[in-house]
Amino acid sequence: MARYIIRRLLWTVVTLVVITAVAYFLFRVLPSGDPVRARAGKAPTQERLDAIRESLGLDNPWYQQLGDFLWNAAHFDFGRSYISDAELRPLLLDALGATTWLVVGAVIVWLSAAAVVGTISALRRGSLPDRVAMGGALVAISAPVYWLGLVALYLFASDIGQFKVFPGAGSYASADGVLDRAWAMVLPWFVLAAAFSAVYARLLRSSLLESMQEDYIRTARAKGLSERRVIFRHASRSAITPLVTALGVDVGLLIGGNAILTESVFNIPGLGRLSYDAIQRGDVATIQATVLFLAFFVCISALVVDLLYALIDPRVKYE
Amino acid sequence: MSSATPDPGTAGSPNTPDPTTPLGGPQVEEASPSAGGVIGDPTVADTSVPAVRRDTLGEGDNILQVRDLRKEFPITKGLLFKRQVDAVRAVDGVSFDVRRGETFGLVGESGCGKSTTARMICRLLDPTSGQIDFDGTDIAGLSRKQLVPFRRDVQMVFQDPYSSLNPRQTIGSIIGAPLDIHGLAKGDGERKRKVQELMDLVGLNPEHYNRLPHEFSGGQRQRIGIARAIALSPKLLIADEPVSALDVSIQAQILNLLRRLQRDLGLSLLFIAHDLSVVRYMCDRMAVMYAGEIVELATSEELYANPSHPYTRALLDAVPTPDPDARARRLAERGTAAV
Amino acid sequence: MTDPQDHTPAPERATATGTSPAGGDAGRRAGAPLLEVRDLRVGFGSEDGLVQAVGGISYTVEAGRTLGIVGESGSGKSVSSMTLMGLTRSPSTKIEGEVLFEGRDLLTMSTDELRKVRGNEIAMIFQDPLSSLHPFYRIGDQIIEGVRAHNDVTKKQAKARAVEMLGLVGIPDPGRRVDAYPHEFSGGMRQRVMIAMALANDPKLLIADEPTTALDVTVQKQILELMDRLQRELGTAIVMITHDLGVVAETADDIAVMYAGRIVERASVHDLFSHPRHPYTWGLLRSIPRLDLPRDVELVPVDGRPPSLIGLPDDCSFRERCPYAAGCCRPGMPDLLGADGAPDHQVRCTMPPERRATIWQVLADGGTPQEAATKAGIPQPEEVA
Repeated sequence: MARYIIRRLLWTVVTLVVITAVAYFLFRVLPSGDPVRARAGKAPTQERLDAIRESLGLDNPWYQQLGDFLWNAAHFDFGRSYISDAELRPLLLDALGATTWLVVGAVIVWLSAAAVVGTISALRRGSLPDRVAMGGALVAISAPVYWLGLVALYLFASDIGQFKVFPGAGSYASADGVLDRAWAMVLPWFVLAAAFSAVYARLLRSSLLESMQEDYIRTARAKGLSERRVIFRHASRSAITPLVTALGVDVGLLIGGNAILTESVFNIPGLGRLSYDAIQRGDVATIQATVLFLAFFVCISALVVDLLYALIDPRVKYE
Repeated sequence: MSSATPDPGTAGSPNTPDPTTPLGGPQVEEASPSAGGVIGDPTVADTSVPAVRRDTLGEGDNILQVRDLRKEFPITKGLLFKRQVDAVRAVDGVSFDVRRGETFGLVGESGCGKSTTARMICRLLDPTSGQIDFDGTDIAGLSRKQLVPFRRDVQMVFQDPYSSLNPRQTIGSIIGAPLDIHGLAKGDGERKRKVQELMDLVGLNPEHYNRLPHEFSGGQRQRIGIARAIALSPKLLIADEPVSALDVSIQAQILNLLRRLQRDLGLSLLFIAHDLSVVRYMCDRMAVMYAGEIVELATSEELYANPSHPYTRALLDAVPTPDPDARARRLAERGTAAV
Repeated sequence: MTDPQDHTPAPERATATGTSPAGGDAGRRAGAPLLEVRDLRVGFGSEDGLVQAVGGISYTVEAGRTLGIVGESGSGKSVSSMTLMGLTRSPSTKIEGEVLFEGRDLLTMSTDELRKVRGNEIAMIFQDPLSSLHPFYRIGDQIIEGVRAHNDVTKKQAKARAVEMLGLVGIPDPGRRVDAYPHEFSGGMRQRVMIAMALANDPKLLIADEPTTALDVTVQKQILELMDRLQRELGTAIVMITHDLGVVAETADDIAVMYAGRIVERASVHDLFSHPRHPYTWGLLRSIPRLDLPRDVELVPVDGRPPSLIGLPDDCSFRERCPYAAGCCRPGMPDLLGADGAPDHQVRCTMPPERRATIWQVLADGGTPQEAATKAGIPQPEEVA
């Protein structure tokens, strides 16, 4: 097992180095990519350009630049923004904090919702609650996040809402303390979780239905176990495997910046917002950094998923 | 009888292996009979050699000669890059002949390598080493392209008649597909006529030409599989457990069909099964496989009357007989014969 | 079950009550059988109509004895046994009849009451031991769970019982293997684990549904021997469900042959194999290749296929496939009646006894059904080439 983790970590490092290198070259050859000109202002002199080039280390040979870039990236140091010249690291870490808040809360919301709805639907297949839940799930999946977000703000936000219950857009940035922040996140959590709840409820329903057909469920019943134990101990343990797979991918992507729509609607200064703004302004250094963040989180969550498999299923063997 | 005490019928023979030793022991991976196949205790090894040689190889007119065929599956290890550290020897030096027009049987339990052998002969799997002389040509080393003419001459019938048929194709196009691929039917009329001949030959109603596989029962589906396999008049037909997925009363229909086709068309048939009584019924000669090796090769009469390898005896003993009295008789005879 | 140490002819064994020294008395009341099934019918609702999987079967099982139920797929042999355990209960299933276990009707019990019987007084093992064990839990935990579902014991006591049972079924080093997962065992060892789990609560009845079908023949032999030994040691009655006539011949005291949801023949193991009386049984016996008969005896398949179980007419289900139906069959469903001179040998066929004897004589000597029918004076339809 330890061997397997080491091997996977080594491969993760290799993957990240390759992605970083590719990202580095990709952004270097982009037409707007010369960081020197971006900083030098209008109509700079050649000396000024050379001076900036030297200060950024861009006069070094390419392999040394790449090496420096990789080394710095390994320390989460991505240099400075080409536009504002602000140091990127604190910027990224702040954004990561906000995004993590958003995603972790939403995951808890959608997993709880999916567990309840999915289980009831599976056990009462074809019943009215099942059909209502699955119909509702379709609606939730089809509703775009920005539309749902705006509707939520219109209904519940404390500034513009019909029922002034929850804090509105932008309140996260000004919130102090854990409780305040959590309160500010309630609407974003539910909006982000809506579609995911639906997807996961359907996933859980179908995989639970499948595992209820297994021979070992028949064995469990033949042993005289209660139906509750048959479902919650025997059927559900095998039914959650596909959910873990999906969760790994989704969490990795969301933390890496895919929560951008929710962040935009609620004006949360997260990674998605950061990269969106950077793209708007052509801030290549920041784009590069956020792309690497996304790659990093996807790799890490893939690793976590694989390790979770081993916890769930003893047949998964790691040499 | 108690499993704690040895079977009184066979206990008299000192060469009798305890069948639990290689088969039912506390091993973790039973399906990997690796490392050369240790059979029972080492003292029996010398009796096994003449057993294989009893029927001399290479005699007569052979459609297929298999010599020292091996298949190893690599076991790999490594931190970043995997390297091969060992190999599972699934088939470990198998040699036998199939004579023109005979039915030759390969019998053995799960994991003994009989299906791997069949798949190598069809070249669905690449052998690690060894020779497969088919009708005078060694096909073991031929490339994909070189194999094309040979594909027509060797056809296979599979165990599960359902999963080996495309559910969206009509029976007509399933059976006709080999004819199309090899360009043997000119025009739809001739194709249909040929397919319906084949359907009639295997006992299917030719009017069902346009039906789909799910409209047929298991036995009929196996007939479809057989019709497809003989469409090209192959020189060798390989049947891998063709009846083990079928109900008892249906099995006999398929076995008799294969026997009739073999007789009427002069087919050479390589028949693979785990069921000793089925193989005995079908085959003139047969080989018993265990852990990747052939442990005994003989005519079916001889193998049953005088099994010389302890594993063969264990296998014969284990087959339940649908006659409560015969079993007692058999055990009594074996007991006195062995002493 | 056949015991090579004791070559007593089967009829005597069949009439003796209770073959085991320990078993005969367990839960046994004077005269009453352990299990009595009366006119059990099971139907499943489907889009095309009610599938009558079991169409009225009756049988009894005495304590400590083995009843073999033989049939092909779709004969209802598995469904009927699953129904005893309440495992087929669902809103769309129609179950009728009586299943008396020690006098209590299992069919009218609530699911909660029945749960106390399942795995406790009646246990079950299945065809595929790999898929029947939960792949994610240690085998010990799976046995412990079953023990604790019915006994108020600590986890430690239950584990001790699990180790004891694993030792009893021949798992080497049970103290260590109790913590292993199912995939760490071979097929035969897994079935031993299933047996240990089933017998952990000392059930009076074990239902074995094709317990050796997924196993190799040498492993099958070991499992059958194990079941035989445990039956003698523990006195468990067994219902052995199988398609394999060889397996019942070696294990059962009595045999019921099922076809299309009904029992067509029922007799002691010796009577059934020495004087089979139903055309379907003949068909089965002549369609399997046998090691104890000469190689050149041609197999005779049963032509055709079993009828659909939807809207089955109240008529002999085998008539369409029966080579001897012409000229001697009366319309309507024959009753399962004792044969002449052998009241314990029941058969669902109206063929006159002398004709039956003539036909079986020819078949037993390797003759074809046509020859047999001709000899018995049954007109044969023109052979279609």
